[in-house]
This record gives sequence, C-alpha cells and structure tokens, in this order.
Amino acid sequence: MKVRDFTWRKPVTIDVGDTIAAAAQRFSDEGVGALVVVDHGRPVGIVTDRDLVVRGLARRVAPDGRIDSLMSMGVIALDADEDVDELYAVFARHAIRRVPVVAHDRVVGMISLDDALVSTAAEMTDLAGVLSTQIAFPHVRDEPAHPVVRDA
Amino acid sequence: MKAHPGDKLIISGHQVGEPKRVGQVEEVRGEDGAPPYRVRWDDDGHTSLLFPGPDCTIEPLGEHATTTGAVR
Repeated sequence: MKVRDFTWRKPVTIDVGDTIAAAAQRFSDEGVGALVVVDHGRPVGIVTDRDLVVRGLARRVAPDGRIDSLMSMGVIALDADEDVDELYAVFARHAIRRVPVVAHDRVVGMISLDDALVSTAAEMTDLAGVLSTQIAFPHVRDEPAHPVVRDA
Repeated sequence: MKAHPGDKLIISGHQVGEPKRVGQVEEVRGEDGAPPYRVRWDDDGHTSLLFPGPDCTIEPLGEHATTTGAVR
C-alpha cells in the first residue's frame, strides 16, 4: 500500500507574515487542526491549534503577532509514492502527528496520525471479513489454488 | 535557500541545551537547488523529505564549497 492510497485532507496554508488572529480564523473557517505555513508559496513550518494555545495564549502573545513566532520550523514531508510503512516510520521517528504529502514537489495533502489509524482499522476490518468467511466456509480453503488437470 | 547533493544541512536547537540536528543533502527535489531536500540524518542514519525552515542552514561541501559559502 502506498501513501497515495490513503485518504488525504486538503492542505490548508497560511502565509508566514500573517497574524496569529488570522491563523485562528483560518482554523475556524477550515475546520482543520494544523496549517502549513508558507513563504512565497514554499512550506517553512507547521502550526497547530494547540500551538496557538500553548505557545500563544499561555504566554500572552498578542493576537496581532506573526504566526511564524508560534510555528514549528521546517516541514517533514512524505512523497505520495512512498510505501505506507514509511508513513508510520515518519510519525514514530519525528514524534509528529501530521505529515504533508508531496507530489511533484508540491504539497498536495495532509495525513494525520488519526487518519492513518482509521484507514488501518478499516483495512483490518476487511481482513477480518475475509477470515470470517474462511471460517464460515472452510471447504473453500480445501480447493486447490490452481485448476488441476486430470486425465479422463 | 539553495542546496546541492552532498551539502551539510544544520538545524539549530531552539532551547538552551537542545542539540542541533545535522544531516547531508542526498537529493534536491526542487528546481535550481530549491527545496524539498532528501536528507540523511547523522544521528539515526534515516532519510527524510524536508522543507527547511528559518532555523536551517546549508554548509556547501565538495565542489561548491569554495564558491558559495554558507547559505541561509
């Protein structure tokens, strides 16, 4: 399974020079938990709704401050053609919960740890269905995998 | 920011005592040296696709080192 086989969310961006208040509005409008911060269209960081609270509100940072003062700098991304094992590895290695997906060097989507868990759970349900069928109809397993040609 | 394969990439620590992260640019995916970069990290040997942030510097190595100097 490849990363491109997962369901992506549309990446939502905010400009590096926009204000914290503008970012809060963007979270509200778009219903997402993370924004990709871009500088001249190129990703330079990620800011989450939690960042607004922990790095912003808790430290009494003014809402008219720049959003890049709250962002995590740099963006670890994943190519859409990578194997899904690499997705899990990226979550584990970098202790992050969201990974932008890149195709042709452009960010085209965002996969969260939650999304990955839901997709994996759905896949496990499909596998469980196959197993249930095999248990309910055990004779199916006794049939040869390939046709056997017998002499007349 | 521009880089070439073989360049050293450094991400500075953000808090006192936090170590910097160092890697080597293995592949430049953008046009004309632009990000994203495929980086192999010195600390664990793994590679990542990275869009560098403002905390990142590139130290040119190899044939580019003598002409370009550090780029931020």
